[in-house]
Amino acid sequence: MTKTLRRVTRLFETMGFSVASGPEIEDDYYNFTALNQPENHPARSMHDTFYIEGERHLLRTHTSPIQVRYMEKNEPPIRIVAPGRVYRVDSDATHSPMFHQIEGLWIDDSATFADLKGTVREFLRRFFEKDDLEVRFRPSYFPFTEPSAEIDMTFKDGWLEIGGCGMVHPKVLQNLNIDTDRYQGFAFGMGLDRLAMLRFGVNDLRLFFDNDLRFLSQFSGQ
Amino acid sequence: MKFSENWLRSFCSTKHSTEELSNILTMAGLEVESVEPVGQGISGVVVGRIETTKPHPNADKLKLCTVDVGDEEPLQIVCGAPNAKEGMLVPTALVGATLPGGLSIKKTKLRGELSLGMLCSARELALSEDHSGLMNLDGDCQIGADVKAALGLKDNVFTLKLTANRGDCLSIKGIARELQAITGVSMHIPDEYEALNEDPGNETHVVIEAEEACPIYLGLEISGINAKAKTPQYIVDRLERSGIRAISAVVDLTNYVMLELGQPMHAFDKDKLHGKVSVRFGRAGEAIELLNGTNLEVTSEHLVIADEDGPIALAGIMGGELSSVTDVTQNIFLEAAVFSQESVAGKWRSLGFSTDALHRFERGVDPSGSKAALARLAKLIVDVCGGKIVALTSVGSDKVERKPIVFRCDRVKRLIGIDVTQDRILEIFSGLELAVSSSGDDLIVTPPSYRFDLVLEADLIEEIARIEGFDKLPATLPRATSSMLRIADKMGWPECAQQHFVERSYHEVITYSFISEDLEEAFGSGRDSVRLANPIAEQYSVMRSSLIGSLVLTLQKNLSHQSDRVRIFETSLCFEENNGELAQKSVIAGLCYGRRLPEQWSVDDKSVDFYDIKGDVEEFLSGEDISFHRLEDSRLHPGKSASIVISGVRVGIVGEIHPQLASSFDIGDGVLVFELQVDKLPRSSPQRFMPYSKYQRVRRDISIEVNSDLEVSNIVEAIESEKIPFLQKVGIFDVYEKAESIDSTKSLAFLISFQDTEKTLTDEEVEKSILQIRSLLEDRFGARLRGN
Repeated sequence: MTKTLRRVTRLFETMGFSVASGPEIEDDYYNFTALNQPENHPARSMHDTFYIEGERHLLRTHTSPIQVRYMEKNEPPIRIVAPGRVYRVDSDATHSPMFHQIEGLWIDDSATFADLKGTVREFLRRFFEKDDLEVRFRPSYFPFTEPSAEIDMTFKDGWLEIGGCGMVHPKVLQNLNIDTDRYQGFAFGMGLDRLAMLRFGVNDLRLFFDNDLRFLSQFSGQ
Repeated sequence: MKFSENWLRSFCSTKHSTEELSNILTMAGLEVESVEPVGQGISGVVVGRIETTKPHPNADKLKLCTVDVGDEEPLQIVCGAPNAKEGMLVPTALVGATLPGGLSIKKTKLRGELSLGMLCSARELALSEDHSGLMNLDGDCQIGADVKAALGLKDNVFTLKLTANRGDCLSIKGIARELQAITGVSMHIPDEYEALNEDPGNETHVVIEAEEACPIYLGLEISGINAKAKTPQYIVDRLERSGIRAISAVVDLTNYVMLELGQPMHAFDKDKLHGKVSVRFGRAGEAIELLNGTNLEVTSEHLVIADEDGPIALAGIMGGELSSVTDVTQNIFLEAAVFSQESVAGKWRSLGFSTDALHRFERGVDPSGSKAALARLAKLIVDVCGGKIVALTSVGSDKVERKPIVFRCDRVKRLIGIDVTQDRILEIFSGLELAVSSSGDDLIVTPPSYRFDLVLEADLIEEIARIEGFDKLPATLPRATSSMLRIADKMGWPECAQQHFVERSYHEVITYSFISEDLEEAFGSGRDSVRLANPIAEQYSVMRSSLIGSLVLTLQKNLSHQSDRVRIFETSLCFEENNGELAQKSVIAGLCYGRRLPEQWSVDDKSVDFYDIKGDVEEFLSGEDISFHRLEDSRLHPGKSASIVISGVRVGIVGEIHPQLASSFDIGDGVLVFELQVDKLPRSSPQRFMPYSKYQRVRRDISIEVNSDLEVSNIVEAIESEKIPFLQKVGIFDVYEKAESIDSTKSLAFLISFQDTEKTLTDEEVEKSILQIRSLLEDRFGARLRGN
């Protein structure tokens, strides 16, 4: 996992992204409200959230709160990737209650949806070292982006969903006092575990959290 | 949302194939999760007519049938069904046919009689659970026709994974409308009733007290229905293909119209209602038994439908048991109302369940469609169950005020990167039924009443991108002012740790941040722990305050796989509460156990000990002013543990797991761990060059005996801080403690080196310094010099 994380962040660093991090126990504001998901928003049910006893704290369901915190403290232009552990109430062969995400954020005065497509495609092609990898963008919905898209890539005979992305929603920028007439940008997020599984041919997500030395020792080389 | 493809096609006669349809919907943002053919697994089954039956000569329960399947000669088929009789139309599996479950039909002899196929029950075709006899097909089925076509099984079940913003697509009509906008194929609603044919002239007394929460409430009474009437088969089929089980005609038809038009409705037994019907918030002390058996204590948070005796339904969510329609119901009161998104939003969380109605109201239901839906339902109920419409009530308004959006055409290119002509924009908007007027260079766009998701300019730009097709937009790399990243001379500590420990053949592990209460109790920091309100299991209920427990569990697991050498580490956040403040701190921890080196003929098979792991940590922190001190920590072995201190700040611990814990976790002795608090480690600073001397270095050894309570590190520190002339380094090369020593002393041997930067030292100068050290040791530590 660390190897994948390192390589992914290095690839983005070559494009001028820097790496940001943040807390894993978040409050409602950073995980939802600032991201245009007020209480009782139906989209909240997409994220089955772990709550902390007694307080209005929760385990972050995505690494987007890192972006919010970064935007609070930094003026555009912004180019960051935010990797980290995230948590959702979900556990079966393809879901783990804890997994890893990497999200990217690019805000300046001219970044377009076409740039978003180009950046994500470039990354996937470099990551999988496959220059003809096909990447498909499919309309979707996230409260914090508009337009929003799912990212699919070719895999075996079909398409495989690998992440989500979109143009940062004007309300998110306004929440952070960023002038939406002057600045705009895009954001994307992908599952690091999924990327590592595809890259190394690992067939079960749970192996990453089993920590069996017979698994780990296969990845000990540089 | 699951639905029958044929049903959708009855709303828009698109020429696209099933696969194309699926792709079009998916690429427009209505993701098709699956397309499954109905009657999967049936092949070679046709409509047959039983011509003759006669008893089987060799078996009492079997019959010999001749069956016409449209060929010149009828087939002889042996059949055991009690209801087989002449003239009956039945599904006939021919030789070579396959049935669901994989059964394949062969030419066979049953008790000496030839059988050229099989007559099927509904269960054998996996169409229902009915296995009482042969499935009786309708009289107008054509003999010899494929049974899938004859039964309308040439259909697919589409499953859409709809996003939360597209409540308008939670109906066949909505999806057809969307297809119209994407492909231009026109939608037509086969059975829409814009108005009820005649106004019965009567009204039910309905009052909306909570006006904000309920913009429109329509009610309709039908009297004299037959509640036991059978729901038409095509409706049962369509409901089943949407994943809804048929229950009774009134309920089925209500569900059917909801799926068809998107308006959730409810039927009450009119005779069970008392007095006027009101829409209001619940009052303290009220309760309702819901249709699913839940007994709910109603509060002012719950919007309810009530009669004069109290709540009769949880508005927009579920009806009450007491007012429900049953087999003997004769008079019904139908409700078609719209409840606001706010009034039902998030209610599934406190209720612990959701319903199809709640799901729709939460995403928004269009009030302007309520009347047509009620008319459609009334017509269907009267057609199926009989009865007469006796009262129609309408409270509130179906008018919807939608806020116009100012749309700047040049924003399209700015956001999505391509030029779209104004003509094309207008064409797309008109396909989406958006009302457009212009104002200078800008457009003023008003969304239709059913599109709750279109509020901002960006929403409209997304619609343009979506209808144009995301795949038609270019992919470019962004242009940016170049800048260099800030890259520190020294890596951050966690990254350093990853490199350092991996090089020392430790494996990096990733364990869950939530652990069991027991594990936290045993290995936690001892401060207040942070608990999850909704853990997936008890064993994952506490956010850990230390990584050591997780490493011990990982060791345990690997020991059970016969590992004899385990070296692992993890870098992660740890959590605790300090005086009510939540703390999340980055931690690096490691564990080693078993053989010091991998098994090989040329190396000994010694196990790792305290000094090995201490050495690994010391090396990791080399360059820092590090020292180790005696430690009392309930998790660690009292004699084989130390705190790690850098420049006076305690940064972590190292030691062997306490024997008692080791035995209760069944991991044996000799498990060594360390844990470092990253925020306590010194901030990285560029390395500085230290000048070194070119003159000779002088080494002297001193052996002493001291009380065994004394800490070696204290003695070394004392010597180092004494400003002894020319002292360069104090090291320790032997510690010896006799186990049975009566006077409890230990022997220590120091090596001490001296050096000057300007000249070679003389013996006298060195001797003078040594004397100073001796008296320090004697005076302060009561040391006795051994030999010399």
